[in-house]
Amino acid sequence: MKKLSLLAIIASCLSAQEPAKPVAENPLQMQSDIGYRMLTGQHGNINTYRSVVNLGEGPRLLQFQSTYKPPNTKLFDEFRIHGANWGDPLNSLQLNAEKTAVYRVNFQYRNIAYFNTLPSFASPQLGRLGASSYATSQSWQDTRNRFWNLDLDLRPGRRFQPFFGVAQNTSRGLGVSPLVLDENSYPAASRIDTGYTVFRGGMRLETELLHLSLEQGGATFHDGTSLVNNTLNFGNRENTYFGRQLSLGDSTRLYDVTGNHLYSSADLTISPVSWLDLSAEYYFSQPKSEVRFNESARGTILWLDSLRFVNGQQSMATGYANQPRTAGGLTLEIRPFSRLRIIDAWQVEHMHNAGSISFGTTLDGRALNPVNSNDRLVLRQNEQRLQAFFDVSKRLTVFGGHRYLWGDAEVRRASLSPGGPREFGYLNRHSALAGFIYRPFSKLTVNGETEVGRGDQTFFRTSLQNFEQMRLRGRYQLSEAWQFNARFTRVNNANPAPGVNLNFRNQQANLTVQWTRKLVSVMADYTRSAIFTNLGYLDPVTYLLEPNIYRDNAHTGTLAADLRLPKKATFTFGGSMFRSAGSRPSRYYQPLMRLRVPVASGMGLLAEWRNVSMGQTFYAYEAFGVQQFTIGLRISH
Amino acid sequence: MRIYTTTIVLLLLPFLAGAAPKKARTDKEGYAGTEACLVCHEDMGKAFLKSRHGVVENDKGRGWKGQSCESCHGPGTKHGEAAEAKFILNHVKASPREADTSCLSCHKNQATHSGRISGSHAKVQVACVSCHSVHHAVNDSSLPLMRDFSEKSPAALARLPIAATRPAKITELCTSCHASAWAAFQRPHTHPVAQGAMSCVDCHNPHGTSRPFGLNTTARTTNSEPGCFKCHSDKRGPFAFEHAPVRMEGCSACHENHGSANPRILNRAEVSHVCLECHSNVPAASNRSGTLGTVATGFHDLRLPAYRNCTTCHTKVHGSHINRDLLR
Repeated sequence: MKKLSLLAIIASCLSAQEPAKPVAENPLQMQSDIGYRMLTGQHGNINTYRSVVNLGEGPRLLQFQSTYKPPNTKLFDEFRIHGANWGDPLNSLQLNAEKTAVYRVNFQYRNIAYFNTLPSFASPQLGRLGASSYATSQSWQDTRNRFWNLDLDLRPGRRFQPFFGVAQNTSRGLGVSPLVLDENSYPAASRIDTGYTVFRGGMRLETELLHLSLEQGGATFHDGTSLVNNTLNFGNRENTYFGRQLSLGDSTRLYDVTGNHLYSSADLTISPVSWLDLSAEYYFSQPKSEVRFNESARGTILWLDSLRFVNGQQSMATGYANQPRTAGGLTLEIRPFSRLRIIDAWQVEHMHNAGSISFGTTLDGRALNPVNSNDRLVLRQNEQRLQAFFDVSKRLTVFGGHRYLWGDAEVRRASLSPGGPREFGYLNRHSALAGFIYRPFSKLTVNGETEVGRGDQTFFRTSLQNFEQMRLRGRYQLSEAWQFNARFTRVNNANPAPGVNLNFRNQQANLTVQWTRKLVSVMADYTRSAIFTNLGYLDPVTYLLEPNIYRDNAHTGTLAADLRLPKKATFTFGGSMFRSAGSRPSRYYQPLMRLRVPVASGMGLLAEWRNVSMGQTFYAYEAFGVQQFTIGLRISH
Repeated sequence: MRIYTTTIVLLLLPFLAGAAPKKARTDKEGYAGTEACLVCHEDMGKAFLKSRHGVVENDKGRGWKGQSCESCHGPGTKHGEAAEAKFILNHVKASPREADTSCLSCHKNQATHSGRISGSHAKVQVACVSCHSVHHAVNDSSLPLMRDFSEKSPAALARLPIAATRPAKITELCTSCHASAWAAFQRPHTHPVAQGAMSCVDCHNPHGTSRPFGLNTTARTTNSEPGCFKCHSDKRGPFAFEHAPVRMEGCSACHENHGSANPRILNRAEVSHVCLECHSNVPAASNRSGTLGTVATGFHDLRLPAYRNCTTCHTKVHGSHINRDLLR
């Protein structure tokens, strides 16, 4: 008490002293990194480089951020702006403004270029000697995916908090996509134009006792994708039909899909008594879409229904789809006494999709009867999970429980499948859960968990049925300098049903070591992963059961070292490597070196060298290697 | 009528008990007050008072006026007298339960934490302070009190792009534990996480959700409407002809979302193998294990190049507005 009194006296003396003249804090803080990137030593397939890395040459605004905290303003307490990678195809901008307890506004914009042209993904002509499209993909995109959202929270931190938001996601660009007509598919130029805009608003109630969020939202979307072919195109069919080669001339395919989507959601957490927490959520949505489709094709087209060739085909279709969905959940955490925690959770989801289309076709000017078709998908899925956590001691917690999944689904049966137009699937799976958390002392933590499931009904052949999964993690802080993390996971899944005979294994082991001293810091990370799956299929030609085996045995490593040099300069080097064997042997290396040197007050130099190279044994034509040099200037104010 | 009234009262009792007014904290013994704390912890205290948490110091409604330090660290008189750390709650050194109890005394019933009970972080006792730091957070108020991992291990900066973007800082923190996820992103075909254009929280909610793997960021997404549609809205539909696995098993039925050596982050080396595993043409012998979509490949001669990649014809694998066979 005496010490406290002394401290209080000192505090009062200090406060009574003439206050030192405070150094005025600059209300505006700014930092920006500007730079220039050069690419050298390019070799291999530059399209793969763009599909995987997609960082180009030229001046870049690598990063900028600014914070403005005006000493006196009624508009805001703080305004922040942050942008990154301007000049690169992965750029972003974020604005935040806030007035304590009055409002908080957040605007985020992200522009991600999606360039993907990999022949190994979609080139049916791959391997055909002399084929002109040997190294081109028949399904590629060069699009810009833009995403922005504006969120306004009123009265943050207060009891009642209204909130509003608007977000938009668009994808626009060019590409190539197969235009499929009866017995052939023709690579055609595509223009992609899709968009989704959502508006939402609601109210949050936050008290010490409970939280309740009620939200109502609506969305509109469109898809105006089109395909155009202006050249004589023989498509992917090598063989002739009745002596004639199929071909496509001037053709267009236009989609005009519009829709809307209304949803309501509620989210509740409540702690009525000290030993009980309850969490509940409810969601209802009903997206609908309307479709107008137009197609005009000229060429040598085989009309299979009447086994005749036509020179012109026009199709028009209108349709709709409706997808009401209800989902909800309830979770209870009960603590009957201090050492025991019981969690009981239920999840329910019911949805169905109803679609209908009316398709009209005109062949060489002669209209056929319109074809009406519809489809329906029904899904009912439920989950119940009960878990109990028991603190055996301060250092050890064990837990165990049970999970039960059940449900049913109804889908359209494949047209060649016997047994009627609909097929039904069921889900029925029980699993046991167990685990522990062991913390013998504050610097060592080990936790493990396992789930063993057994089921007799599952939706798909690859779904979890009879499975065991295990996770083991450990973290050890040997000293201030050394830290170790280890992690091991394994999943086995099998479906022994005759005709399925699934055997799946996935295993990962990971070790991370960190060594941090005043002038040197090193982080090394190594992961060994192995995936194996064996699932048979019936060869439709030989009618023999063939195994479909997939293996991926990979080594991944990351090494990073940071050296503190004189005059606050830092030198960083390291990088990552990935090497795999199995069904698609691959290697991907990304070594780097980086130097940061302060040159004056508020100014520093940045320099980076990074090498990116990839190779795949079976797809050598997709290999690439590029060296990136970036130099830049950091300016701070 | 009396029975009904009694029942209602009994049902409401726990709620009423929870809603009882808080005991006036300022009357509690052992509290020294913020001024006393600042005598020794001046820099830390001043920075704290300027932070978002600083509102606790002056807001009467929160019940900690003039005692904001002790609102988290507990009564400080004994600590002040003895000048020993063991008499004050240090969240980093305390057990996760102790640390979280302190944080959740204010933050439990907030929208951000609505899925906490179901979350895997809460399950394995990952404390709030594992990711958040009140006094040593990243200097960016839009990353709420996020711990600066590179401060502890500067080498981790090498894993970031040359200009550390906000998403990159988040990823750096998450992967300091989830190293195997980082390893997956070192594969050639991934989401642009390593480039700093996306972060883990774009798909996962670290505070917990009722979804597996903490997936999806809000209650507005469900199993049949996964959070992936936030960016991939062209796959959202609804389609007149849905591809059932998209709704029933989600995108991970065919994609390795963290990264893959296969193009389009597929979970098999070739497209046809992804498809054939379900559309195997091998009907299950027992109806109890009957699986959906088994028969579909029909008369396709898989030796022909035209059939080598299913998506060459079945272009609308995520669902079609027009064609039941997903051809256009």
